[in-house]
Amino acid sequence: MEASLIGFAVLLALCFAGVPLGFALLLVGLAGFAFERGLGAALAMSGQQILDFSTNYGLTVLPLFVLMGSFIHRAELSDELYEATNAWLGHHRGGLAMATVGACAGFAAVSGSSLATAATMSKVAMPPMRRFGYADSLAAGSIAAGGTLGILIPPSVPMVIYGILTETDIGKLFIAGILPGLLMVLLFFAAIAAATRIRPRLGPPGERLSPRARWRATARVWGVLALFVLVIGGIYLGVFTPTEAAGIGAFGAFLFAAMRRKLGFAACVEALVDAGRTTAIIFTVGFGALVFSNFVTLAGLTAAMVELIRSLEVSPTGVVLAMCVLYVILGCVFDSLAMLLLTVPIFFPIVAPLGVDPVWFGIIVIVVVEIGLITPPIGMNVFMVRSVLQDVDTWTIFNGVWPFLAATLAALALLFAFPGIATWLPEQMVKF
Amino acid sequence: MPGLAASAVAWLTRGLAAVAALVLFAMMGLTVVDVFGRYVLHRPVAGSFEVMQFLLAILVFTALPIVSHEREHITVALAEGWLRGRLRRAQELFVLALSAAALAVIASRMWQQGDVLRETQAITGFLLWPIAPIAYFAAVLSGVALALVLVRLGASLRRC
Repeated sequence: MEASLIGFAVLLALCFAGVPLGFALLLVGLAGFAFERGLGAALAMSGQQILDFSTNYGLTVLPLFVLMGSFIHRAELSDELYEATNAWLGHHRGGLAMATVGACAGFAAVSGSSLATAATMSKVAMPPMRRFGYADSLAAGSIAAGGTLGILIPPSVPMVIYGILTETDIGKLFIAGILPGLLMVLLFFAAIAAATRIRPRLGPPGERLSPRARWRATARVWGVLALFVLVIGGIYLGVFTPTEAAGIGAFGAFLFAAMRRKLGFAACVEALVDAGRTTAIIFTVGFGALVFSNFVTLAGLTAAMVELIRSLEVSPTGVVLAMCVLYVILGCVFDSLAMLLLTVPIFFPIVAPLGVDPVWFGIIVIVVVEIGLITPPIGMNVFMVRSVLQDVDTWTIFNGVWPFLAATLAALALLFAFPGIATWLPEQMVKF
Repeated sequence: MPGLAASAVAWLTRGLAAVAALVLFAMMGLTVVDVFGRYVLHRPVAGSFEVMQFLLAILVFTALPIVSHEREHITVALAEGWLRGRLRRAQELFVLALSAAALAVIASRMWQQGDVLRETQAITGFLLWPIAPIAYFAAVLSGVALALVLVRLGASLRRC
């Protein structure tokens, strides 16, 4: 128990000193394990774990979904998505911001990354919002917050990682993300409506289009819909395993980008290499997280925590709630993937024996990770929007984010009050 | 870094990137062919499961030197922004040294695993492929990553 606390302290010190998280986890985990069981055992354990992790078939799903996102990112379909949502929503007060959120949701349905969603929407949604006189705060805030939908609406790379770490069915997690994703979109709309009702100058209404123009704009995004239905529908109906769905999805995205003439040979190689790099980055943290969590388990932290919770007679919901608070604090320092890889192997063994539903807990974790993406000081989505829109101040974006933050907290509260929002849909999945 | 070494490193990372791209493309292609074979031709690709496992390990360890060299690993790094001058350089040395240590652990462990798998003649369940080469491959490529980090470490030592 004490050893693991010292381990955590050293780990944090190394991280703050700038040592890559994966390496810090590996070294501290190794040293801690060696302290408990001797160096020989520590080395044997880590070698085997790392090799098993790298040749785990279940993990092939990860590079393939990353690749799907990588191709989709290059397909440049955000223009059409924005035009389609804008055709339906633009004439409302704050409508262009709502259209931004809607387009983000559409992009999220074929991409598993929040950063990619925020990056691609920054380029497309910001100019029209400026043209209609939207405040920079609301405009950039809606992009940063809308981007977080990328990891809640399937496919989602963080869900894949959660599924792997906890041995939860990735297909179920994906399906579980659909309703909370839609709920989040509606709450974001409400946040925009409320903000523009209080201060109408934040986001004046845009022009109203004829029904015909609306449908014409909608028809142009058929590809996104087709890809989503193919991948997520395939998983839902049990036609594909998640790995197969990822491979098919990546191939579909490849064809889609190629058909739109956005994917020459060079761009294709670039997309592949990018996905390969991301894979190696995630795996490196994964190696470290494995070794570190082995040490923490061996040192008795997990058992001690479970014991403590039992003795305090806190309800499982109370425990998860406390973890959410911890996540929000950690989210101030760690980036989302790092946070998942670090915490899930430690938290999950604590909540699982308490009877917490693994799918529901996964969705809760994703939502709190989303909060970390848009809150200071390290809100990666805000930084991403800032890096695309050079002339907007970081704090202006953080200022614009708070109505969305309130909406995300509301979604979290609803998920606690009605767990069925996350668990009902996966329970309806076809069983074979 | 002298010109020759720099261009050698550039060529190396470019070559690794090409291999990584090819491997990932193969993973995608194999999955598609497998699914197509199963549903349309009713003849799935035999052993695709094991090939995918091997390709995954090759992908990860081929890309590892690239991301290590370009320092793309996930870091928290709050200290970087505050440190100046000598402290900043000391911090850089510290980070590179620990990165090298971690990569050395990975490389030596993978080699060790290779030895164990070779001695026990471990093979895959269906295709009966020996597993040891994958471990040796991982060891060598982690070694390449280590070498690239050491080159950086040397360069930043010389600047001190």
